Amino acid sequence: MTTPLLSVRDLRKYFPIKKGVFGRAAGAVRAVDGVSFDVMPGETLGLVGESGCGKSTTGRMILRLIEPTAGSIEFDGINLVSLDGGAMRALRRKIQVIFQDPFSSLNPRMTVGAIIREGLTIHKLAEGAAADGRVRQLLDEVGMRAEYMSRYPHEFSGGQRQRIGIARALAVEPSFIVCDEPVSALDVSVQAQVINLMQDLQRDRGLAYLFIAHDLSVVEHIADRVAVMYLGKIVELATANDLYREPLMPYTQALLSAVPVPDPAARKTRVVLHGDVPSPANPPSGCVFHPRCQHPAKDAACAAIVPPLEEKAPGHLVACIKQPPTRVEWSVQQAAGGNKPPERYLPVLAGHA
Amino acid sequence: MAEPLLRVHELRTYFYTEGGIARAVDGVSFEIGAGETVGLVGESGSGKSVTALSLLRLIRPPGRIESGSEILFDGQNLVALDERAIRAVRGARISMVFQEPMTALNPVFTVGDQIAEVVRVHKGGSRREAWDRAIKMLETVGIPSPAQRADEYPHQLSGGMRQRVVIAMALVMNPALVIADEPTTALDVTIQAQILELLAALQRQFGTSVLLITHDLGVVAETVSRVLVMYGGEIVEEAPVRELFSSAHHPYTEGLLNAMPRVGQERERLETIPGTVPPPTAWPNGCRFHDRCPYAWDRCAAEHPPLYQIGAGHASRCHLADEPERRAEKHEPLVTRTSA
Amino acid sequence: MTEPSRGLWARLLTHRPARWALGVIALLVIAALVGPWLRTTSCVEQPDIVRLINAPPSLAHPFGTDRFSRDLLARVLCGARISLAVGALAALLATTLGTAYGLVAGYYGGRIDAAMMRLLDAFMSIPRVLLLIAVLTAWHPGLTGVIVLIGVTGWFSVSRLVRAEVMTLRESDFIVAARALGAPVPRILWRHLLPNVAAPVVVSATLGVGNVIALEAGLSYLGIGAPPPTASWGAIFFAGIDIFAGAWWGVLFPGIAIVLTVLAFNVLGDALRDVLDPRQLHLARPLPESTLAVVSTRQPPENG
Repeated sequence: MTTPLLSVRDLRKYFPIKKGVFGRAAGAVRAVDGVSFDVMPGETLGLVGESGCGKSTTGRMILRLIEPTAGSIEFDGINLVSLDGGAMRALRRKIQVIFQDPFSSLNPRMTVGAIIREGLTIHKLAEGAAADGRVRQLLDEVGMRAEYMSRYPHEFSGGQRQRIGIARALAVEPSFIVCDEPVSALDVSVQAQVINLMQDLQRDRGLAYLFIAHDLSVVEHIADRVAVMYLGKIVELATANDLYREPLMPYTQALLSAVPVPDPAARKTRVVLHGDVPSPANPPSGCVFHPRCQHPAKDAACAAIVPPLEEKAPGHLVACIKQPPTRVEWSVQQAAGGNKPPERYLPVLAGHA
Repeated sequence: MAEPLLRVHELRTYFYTEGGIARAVDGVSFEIGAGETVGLVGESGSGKSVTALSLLRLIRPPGRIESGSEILFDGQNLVALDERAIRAVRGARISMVFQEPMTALNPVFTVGDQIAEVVRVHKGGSRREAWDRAIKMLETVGIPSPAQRADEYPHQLSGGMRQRVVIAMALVMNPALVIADEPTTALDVTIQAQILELLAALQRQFGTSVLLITHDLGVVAETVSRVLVMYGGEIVEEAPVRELFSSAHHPYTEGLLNAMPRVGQERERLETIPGTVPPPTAWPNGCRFHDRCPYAWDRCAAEHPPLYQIGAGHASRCHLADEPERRAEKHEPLVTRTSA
Repeated sequence: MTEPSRGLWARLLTHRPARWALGVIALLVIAALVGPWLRTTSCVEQPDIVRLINAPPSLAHPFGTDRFSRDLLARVLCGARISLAVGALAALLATTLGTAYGLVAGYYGGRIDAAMMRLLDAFMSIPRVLLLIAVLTAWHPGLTGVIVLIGVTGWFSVSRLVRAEVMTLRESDFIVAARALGAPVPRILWRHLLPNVAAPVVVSATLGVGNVIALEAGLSYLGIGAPPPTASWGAIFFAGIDIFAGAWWGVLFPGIAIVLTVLAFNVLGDALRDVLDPRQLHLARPLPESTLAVVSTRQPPENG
C-alpha cells in the first residue's frame, strides 16, 4: 500500500462577508466546506465542478497561495499548513502550478528564457551557462525551439504560451503539479496537443497532477480518479471509469448528461437542472444539492441531513442518502421527515448506451 | 426550392493593419433558409466571428468589407445599404447574441429597460407598451418572476439569467435571423444545456433561423441541422449535421473530430493536428491547410482547391474529392517534417 | 519587434505634438550642456560694469544684459542647467519615493495598506507650497537642499497611482506564478510588478519635471529658490521684474524659457500617456477576432 503524496483532510475556506460601516462580519461565503482526498504519486486526480464550486480555491490552498480556514494538508508527510515562510519556500519546488489563462500567466516584460530560468535562480539550482542549458532542455521537452528563449510572450500563441508555463513549472523538478484549468482557454486542436504533452511528461517524470477543470470530457481522458465538487463539498469520488460509466450522485448524472456529445445520432436522455447554482454565501440546508436534485426518492430528509461521503461500491464514494447502500439508517431519515426510502437511480445517459 | 432567407456570396473582410493586410474572411459563400439552424464551426483565427460581424456590418476600420461581397437578405444587399437602413435591420430583422452576457448588457440600466429600448428604437410606441413587451419576453425566455426581474440590474443576475436576457433582447422584435456568436461558451455546462434547450424551443416557437457560431462540435451536433466548417478565412466543408459527423471529408474536420476527447471513448492519446493556425496576414499558398494535412501532396501546395460537391448538400474544399485514392497515402504533415 | 517598448518609440514619433516636445527638450538639454561653453562671456562675469548695464538685445548680447551687466543669454543658458537639473533630479526623487511606497502598499493590501494610506492622507493634507516656503525661508539650504525638499514633498500622487496599478496586477496569474515559485516579496516587487507599472510611473515622472521647474521658478521668484549668483530662470525672472518697465528683455527671455520647457514636458507626458496604452503594454493579448480593431493609423484604401 503506497502512501499518498498529498493528503487533504476536512479542508475549509470561509471568506467573511463584511457589512455595515464598521465592517462587521455578517456571515461567510463557504467557498470550500470540508474537502478530503488523497493523491498518489504519479496519479492524476481530476477535480471537476462548475463555477463557484470551490475547486480553484482548493487548488490554491494546496499551493498555500490562500490560507485555509481549517483542515490539514499533508504533502510527503509534511504538514503544509503549519510551515513557516522559509520551509514553505523550499517545499514549493515540489508543488508547482499551471494556470488557465495563457495570456496572463506569463510576465509580458520578461523573455521566455528569463521566465523559465526564474525558478532555477530563486532556488539556486543553476546559474549562468548551466541555467541556460537547463532552459534549453526544458524548451525541448515541451516541444519548443531553443531559440525562443530570447523572445517575449506576446509573440506566441495560446498553446505555445501554455507550453512555456509548463516548462516554468518543470524547471524546479516538482513531483506534484496543480493544474488549474490548463486547457480550458485553448482551441480543441491545441488542447489535444497540450493534453498529450502533459501525459507524456507525467509518464517520463512520474508527476502527480491535480487536474482542475469544468470540461468533463477532458478530465475523463486524462484523470485516473475524479472528484466532483458542488458548493464547496465533494459529492462524488471514484475512478474515471466508474464515474463515467455509473455516476451515482444525481448531480454528476446531471453534469454528465449536460455535456454536449459530438454525435447527432446519439439518443439523448438529458437531465436538465432547473434554476441556478445557489450562492455559496447561503447554501441550502442538509444536502447542498437537494433543491435541484432529480432523484425520485428525494424528500424532506434530504433537506435536513448532511449526507456523508461514503463508499457505495469499491473505491467509489458518493454523498447521497438516497442511493443505497447508505450508513444513514432509514429510521434516522424518517425521523428527519423523510417518507421515501432510498432506491438505486441510474438514468441512462447519452453515449453510455 | 424556396428562396433562401440569407444568401452570402463571396464575402471578403480585410483588415488593413501595420503588420499587413489580414484577410480574415476571404471568399465565404453560404445560404440560410427560413427556419433553419446552421452551425458555423471554427477555431480561433478561422474567421467565423468576423463573418458574423460582417453580416451585420459591424466591422470598423481598419477592417473593411471588400467590394464584390454580397449579403442578400430579404431582397436587399446589406453591403450596399446606408447607415440608417442597416440600423433598421439590426435588432429587428437580424439580431445578434454575443458570447459574454456581462459585457453585452449595459451595467447602468435595468434589464427591463434594455429590452424595452430595443422595442422603442425599432417600433416606437409608448414606454408602457415597450415595458410590457419586455416583461412578456422575459417570461418567454424562462425567467421566473419577470416583472420583478425586469427592475434588476445585470450584476444582480447570474450568468445564465443574463444570457437569457440577451436572448430576450435578440428576439423581442421577432427577427427572421438570429446570429449567436458562441452564446454558451462562457457558461457552465448545466446552464449551457438550459440555454441550448431554450434556443431550440424559441426557434420552434417563432420560426426564427439561427446561425450558431461555435468552436464546440458537441454543441453543433445537438442543435443544428447543417454545418459549415471554417479554416483560413474560408469554408472548407459544408454538410448536413449527421453526415458531417459520420462521414467528414475534409482532413481538417477529420482532425477536429479526432482531437476531441469524448466521454466513454477509451483512448490512450488524443490525435492532434500538428502545427498552428496560420496568421490571416499570410495564408499559405495553395490549400491553406496543406502544411498540416496528413494527406497532402504536391498539388495541394500549388493549387488552391475550390469547393467540390461530394454529395447532396455536402461540399469539401479538398483535392481528395478529385483524387480520392490519395487518402490511402497518409503521412507526416509537412509542418512536423520541417520544424526542429 | 522583439521588446514591447521598441514599438513605443515608433508610436511616439508618429504623434505630432510629441515630436515637437521631444525636439524642444532635446534642444534645451543640448543648450544646457554645451551652451555656456559657447558663450564667450560667462553667466557671472560682469565685463563692463558701467556701459553694459541694462543694455537691450544686440549682436554682442542677443538677450541683452541685466543690471549687473551680465550677459542674459549666458545667464539663461546657465539657468537651463540649473532648472533642468532641479527638474530632473527632484522628479526622479519624487518618483522613486512614490513608486516604492505605492508598490509596498499596493502589494500588501489589508492593514498595512490602510495604515500607509492614512499616513499618506496626513502628508497630503499639508499644502506643499506653503510648507516649502516655510522650510526654505527658515533654512536657506543650497541647491541640493532645494532639490531634496521639492522631491520629498512631491511623491504623493505617484504613490496613489502606482498603488492602484499594483492592486490590479497583484491578482494576475504571472504574479501568482512567481509566488508559487517561491519568489520572495522584494523580487516580486522589483522584477515582476515594477516593470509592469512602468507606464504610469514614466508619465508621472515626465509631467513631474515640468511641475518642478515651474515650482522652482516660483520659489526663486519669491527669493527662496536656488541661491545667487548662479541663478535659475526663476531668479533671473525675479531680477528682471525690478527693471521690467524699462528693460523688457530681462523678463521676456527667462519667461519664455520657463513656459516653453514646462509646456514641452507636459505635452510629452500626455503623449506618453496616450502611447503607453495599458492595452498594448500590460498583457499583450492578441485581440479576439470579433474585436479585431488593431491600432493603426493607416486608412483602408478607397473602394476602387
